Amino acid sequence: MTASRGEIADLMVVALARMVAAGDVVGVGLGTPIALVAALVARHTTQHGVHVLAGGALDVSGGVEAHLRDPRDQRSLTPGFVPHLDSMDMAERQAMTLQFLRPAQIDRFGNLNTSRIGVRSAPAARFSGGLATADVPALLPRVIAYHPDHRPRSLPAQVDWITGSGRGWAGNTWKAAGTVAVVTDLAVIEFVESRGRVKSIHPWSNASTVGESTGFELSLPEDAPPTPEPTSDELETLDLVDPLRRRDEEVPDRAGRDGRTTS
Amino acid sequence: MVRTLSSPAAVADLIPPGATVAVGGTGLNRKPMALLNGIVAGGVRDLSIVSILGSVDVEYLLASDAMAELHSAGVSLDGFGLAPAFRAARQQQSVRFIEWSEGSMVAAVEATARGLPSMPCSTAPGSDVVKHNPSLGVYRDPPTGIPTVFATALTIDVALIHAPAADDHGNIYVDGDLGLDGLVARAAKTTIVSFERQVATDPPLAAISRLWIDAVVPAVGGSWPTECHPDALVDLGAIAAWAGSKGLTAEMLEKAS
Repeated sequence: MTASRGEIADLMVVALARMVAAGDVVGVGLGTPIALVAALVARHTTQHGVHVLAGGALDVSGGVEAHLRDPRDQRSLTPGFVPHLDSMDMAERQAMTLQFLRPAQIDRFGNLNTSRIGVRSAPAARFSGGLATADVPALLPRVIAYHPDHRPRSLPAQVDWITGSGRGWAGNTWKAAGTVAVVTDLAVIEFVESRGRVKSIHPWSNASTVGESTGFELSLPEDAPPTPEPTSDELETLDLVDPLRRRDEEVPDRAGRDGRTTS
Repeated sequence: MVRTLSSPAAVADLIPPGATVAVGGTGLNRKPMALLNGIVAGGVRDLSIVSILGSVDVEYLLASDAMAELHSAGVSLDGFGLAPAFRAARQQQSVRFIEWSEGSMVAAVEATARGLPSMPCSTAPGSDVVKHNPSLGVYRDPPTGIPTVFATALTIDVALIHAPAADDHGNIYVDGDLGLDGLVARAAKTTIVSFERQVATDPPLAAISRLWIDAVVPAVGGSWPTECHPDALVDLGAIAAWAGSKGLTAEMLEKAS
């Protein structure tokens, strides 16, 4: 069975959106359309007042395109702006409750790497930098990661560089839960006591592919259910909030790459 | 007294080689490109640059070989992806890069602005950013004993900021997010602001008081190719060309400013 980029993006978005809880204030960073669409789907499909803070603007009326507009053009579309420095304070006060992050790597401790691949003295690749990734996992009640290219290098036993620590160290006094789950293009994995536990497997994948694609040992129940496909309501909402399908941009085009899709 | 400089090129005389220079703006918003061009044209080298969220500022200084060290929480071209010169410099390790998180850098600059030796911050003690940044360390918070990241005050010799407007007393007016600019203006020993327009004096509306400003200089288009609302939009074509490594050159900057 194979899946298109669009099908992968849709399922990842709804899997993320379903983890948003009543009363959550979801912070969305720049350049992560899957995170933005997931937050908007959650806002539209929940009855319980989910708030979305994207690019400094709170609860912007409209879909993805309205959210990508310059803040000054959102004046009539939002009840409030949060300056960059204040958004840090929001995290510190837990006035923001959840963020979706897209790391280069994530390990079984929920450690996030947004900085570099390879050893420090001879890195194979370096990225833009950690931004606030070292700050938010210690602050927000929950962080949920997503990765649209599930393979051992993306989900290794140990990340090459800990930008944001997942959870736990001697003397830990976190009120935060740290990174609680990762949604990939193959499965939904929860982190429980420093172990990854497969919560569901996407319809186009299976247990052995998920296991082989992961660099750490997974708790993989025999009867791990398939990730429920998007409902008609969810598909309708996806069309409403992201008609131009910006969410697909984050899913790598796998044409010519083997081993990803399984029968 | 706030001085008015004759042109952005005059900024080079105020910056000694090896100085630590904080660059204002965030991402593709209000980068003081005309002032940076003045530095490069004046031949100032070996700078230690502080840019919390860098973009073409870092790219331009790398391409001009003016920077020896960079303090940043991240450098990218936003929607245009990774910054090519920054990425190459990191992979070749041609410039000393000190990685910060946004929160820890805010704390380090705030400590300087407040005249404190250090400030605690909410950065995770387990992060490798903390482990490898010499300005950061984990200590027990004295009153409570809770392990906490402390950021040592970051010395800033000069802050360079671009703003839409200034009045004739040197108060600075900004429409939109001030980012870290208000803090770096207070932290720096010398703060220089280029501006698009002269406006009537209205001190209560000032984003940065003249109290923190040492010199201003008019520079229409001085943030090109980044935005300066409401006077200038991001020049998407120029950013795209840079992202494709076609180059952001001094000639282009001079033409724009």
